[in-house]
Order: sequence, then C-alpha cells, then structure tokens
Amino acid sequence: MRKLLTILAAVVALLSTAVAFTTQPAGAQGARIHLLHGIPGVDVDVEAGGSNVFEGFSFGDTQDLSSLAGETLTGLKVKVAGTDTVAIEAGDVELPGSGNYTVIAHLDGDGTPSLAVFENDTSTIAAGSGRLVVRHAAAAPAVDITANGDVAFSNVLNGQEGSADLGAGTISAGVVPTGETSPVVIGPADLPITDGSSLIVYAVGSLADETLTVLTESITDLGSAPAAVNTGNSPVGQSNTALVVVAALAAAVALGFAPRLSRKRS
Amino acid sequence: MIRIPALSFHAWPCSTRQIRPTTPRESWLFGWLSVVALIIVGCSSPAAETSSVPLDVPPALAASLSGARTPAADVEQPDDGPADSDARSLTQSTLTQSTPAQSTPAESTPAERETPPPASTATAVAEATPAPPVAPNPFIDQISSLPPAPQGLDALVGDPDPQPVRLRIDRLDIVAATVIDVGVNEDETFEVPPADEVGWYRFGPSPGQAGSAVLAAHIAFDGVDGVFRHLEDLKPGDRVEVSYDDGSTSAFVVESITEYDKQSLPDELFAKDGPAKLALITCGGAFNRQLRSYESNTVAIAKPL
Repeated sequence: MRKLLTILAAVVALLSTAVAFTTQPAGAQGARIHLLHGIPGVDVDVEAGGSNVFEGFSFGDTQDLSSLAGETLTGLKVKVAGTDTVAIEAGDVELPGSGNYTVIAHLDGDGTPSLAVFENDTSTIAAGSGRLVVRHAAAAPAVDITANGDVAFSNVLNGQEGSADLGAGTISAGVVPTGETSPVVIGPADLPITDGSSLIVYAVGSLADETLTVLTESITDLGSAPAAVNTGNSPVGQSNTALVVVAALAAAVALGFAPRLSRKRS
Repeated sequence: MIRIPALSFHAWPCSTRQIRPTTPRESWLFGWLSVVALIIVGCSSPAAETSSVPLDVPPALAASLSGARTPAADVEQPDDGPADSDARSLTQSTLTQSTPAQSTPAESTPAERETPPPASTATAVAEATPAPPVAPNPFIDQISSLPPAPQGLDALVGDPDPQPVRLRIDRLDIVAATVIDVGVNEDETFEVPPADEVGWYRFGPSPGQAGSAVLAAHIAFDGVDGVFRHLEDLKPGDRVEVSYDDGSTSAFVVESITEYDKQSLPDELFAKDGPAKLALITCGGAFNRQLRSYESNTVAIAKPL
C-alpha cells in the first residue's frame, strides 16, 4: 500500500511539473514602457486624462508607464513646466499590451519637440556577446556612428536607430556627420559591451544650439550560458580500475578456495 | 431654487436684521441673498488659500482639487436668469479674491462665468460644500518614476573587480594552479584553457561577488591529467582558496558535488546575480570514444567562508 502511494505521489509530482511548464507562456508579463525626457534645457509637465500626471520632469528623467500597458492615454500633452504652453500635443496614445518600448520626448530634425516610440530588441544574445543600439534623437542631420574607428552604422537620420550584437568588451564609439570623418560631434568614448546586456545610446539635443549630448539606458538579463563546458577529450579509466579491483578480488577468492577444494576431494 | 446641502453656519453678526424688506418678493430675495452672503463671507478666507494650487502639490492632490471644482457646475446651475445673476454679481464684491492661477473648471452657461471672480465664487461655493466623489485621474497612480537615464558617455566603463589568478585546494593536492580569464569559443562553448590551467569565466562575477563565479579545468586532455582530474574526490566542508590580481585571497567551503548530463548543465551555474558562490566544473561520467568527450559534467559548489 505504501509503495503504491509512493508511486502515486511520484506520478502526481511529475504531472504537476509538466503542467507548470506548459502553463508558462512566453512573454505573458505585459509591456515594459518607459518614458524618457530627451530635450535638454526645459522641464515639462505631462498631462493625460485631463490633468497633470507628473510635473517638473527634467532632461534625462524616466517614468515607468508599464502599469498602463494596453490602455489608452487620453489627451497626452507635454507642457512647459508650470504653464499651459503645450510643447507636444500627442492626442490619444494607445500603449501596447506587450513588448518592450521606450518613448522619448526629443527634438526632431527641424528642432521641433516630438514623441518617438522605439521598440527595444529583447531577443536572446549569444553567450559572450552584448548588444549596442544607437538612436538618433537629436536636431541634427544624418550621422555615421563609428566603432573602434570603423563606420558601424551609416546615414542614420533623426528617428532611426542602428543595432548590432558585438563581442563583449570595450569599444571606442563616436558620431560624425554622415560621409565625413570629422568633426566628431559626440565622443569618441569607451562604451562597455556587456555579455547579455543591451546598451541603448540616444543622441539628443540640438547641433545648432550646441546642446548635443547622449542619454543611455540598459536592458540586462538577455544573455545565455555557454552552450557546453567540454573539459576533457581523453579517458581517465576509473571504470577500468574498478574492473581490475573486482578481478583481483575474484582471483584472490578463487585461489583461496582452491586448496580447500582439493583437500576436500582428496 | 438652489439647493444647498446641510452645513454648519458660523455665528456671524447678521446685518440683515437691520434691513427690513418691504414686499414679499423682496423678503424672499433678501432671505436668499443673506444665506449666500453668509456662506461666502463665512467660508471664503480659508477657501481662498486651499483653492490656489502651488506647483509642488502632489499630482494626486492637485487632481482631487481640480476634480472637486467640477461639481460647482451642478451646484451653481442657475434656475432662471435674473435672481441668481443678481446674486452672483452682488456677492462678487464681498468675495475675497482667490488666486486665478489654477485652471478654471469646465462649466456650462452664462456670460458672467467668463471673468475669474464668478468662477472663483463657484470654486469657493464648491469647496464650501462637501463635493460628491469624483473619479481620480486613472493614470496618476499607475505611473512611477525611475532613476534618471545616465547622461554622457564618460565613465560608462566602471572599475573592474579584482580577478582571480591562483587556486589552492588542499584535498586535491592543488597547491597554486594558475587561473586565467576566459570567454567562449566561436561555437559559444566554454573556452577551456590548457590542461595545466584553470579558466575563470570573465563574463560572470569574480569569485566572492554576487552571482555564480565559474572556474573550469580539464579532467584530462590529450592523455594529460588536467588540474581538476580528481574534482569528484572533493567532500562537503573542504576548503578552497582563491588569490586575486590585487594580492588578496578569499576562502570558500565546498557544499556539494553533483554530476549532470552535459545537456542538463543548469543555467544557474552562470547566474550574474544572487548569493555569491563558486562553481568548479570539469567533465565526468562515461567517456564516449567516438566523440572523444565525456557524457557528464562534475560540478562542485562552494560558498564564501
């Protein structure tokens, strides 16, 4: 009876594990949505649903809108802080229900404040690599982005991005006008390419106003463990040793018995 | 008729007693004027302070204040023009001016609402009366602030932790094995160093930092015993010592020795966060002569002493 119960318990445990696995759908956690203030030199109030939802939002500040995934922000406005002056009139903004997004208030190519939505790549990164994403969110013409002296992304316009998975380590990155090698408007600077992480670099500000700079954000936990740890290509014969021992014992026993047997017989 | 919900009156000196109405219509008008006047005068001073909204008021409070103003439209609904219009224009002069900085509530109808004082009147009246519950802005409590995004590219690359350079395990007669930092091969497998060295996975933490630090070495390579030839002989409680490139040393205590099928090597052994632990990995189990590889990994877990 006890044995039957034990078997039953084991079966139930196995089934529970199987059920737990199959009821874990991938990506069911809802969206991750961040709002980033990418316009230097102006604090803003953000209005939605008819009143300010937060105030005094400064350059570089980030707000988490993830709890509103799938909802519509009605009458979204970005206003100059403390005033009714509307900098960005976004209207009704429907937020995605899943996925990973960064919404950035930035200056477009003409220097007009606007909102841009970037979807972040959260696909798994191979072991030993990190992801670099560079986004042009500045009032500046098309640029090339260089890595260790070579052009990594060329002719990137305002609102566009370049992305690559690179071997983990440090690279020296810079931003130049497209097709040129100088002036280096941003950088050169060392960027960490971290195993399993995505480093997102936003070029923001205005070239004309000399306020060009960079904001960064990181997404971690995208990496993988090594595919295997192959730490041996020749045998070491532990099993052989056991066989030898057993064989020796067997021989010793046989030798020990043999004289007795012969004596018995005789 | 304007319905004003029950409220407590202050005992103000009532000048209306000195004024005698002469006609029934005047009596009725004066009665209502005095009531309204009492309310305005009695409550306008404190109301003026609370109705101004400085910018550092928490958004939720600001929303509830602006929300509270909207029922003014209901309370203020004029019956028919003249009596109430007169009431409003008369009380205008008795009202303490409140700051017109805040946005005025959306209200329907007459022209006199356009100028701030009547709106402020409405505001004061609304705040004098208990406002019916107003749904708060549905977005406010669902938005939370995060740390600001780092600005600029300077100092994105931080100072690295001390790296392990030597390993000592007395139980296994490992006196001072050389440890080098390794990564992955082209095929994403662990980059194992030559038989006489130990590889520290540079994409994970350094031993002693948060997460699982991995040290791997061959059991045997091309017929030569590797540093971890006898790893399976470790026992819980055995001591492991790691020396670093800054001259420091840390000690760890073995907790477990486990054999895993190669394909089932747990990913947690490469965790970058969580409690600090040390994973010593080599090959084990049956040797496959065709593939020239082992079927299992032997893993010893040690915790910082």
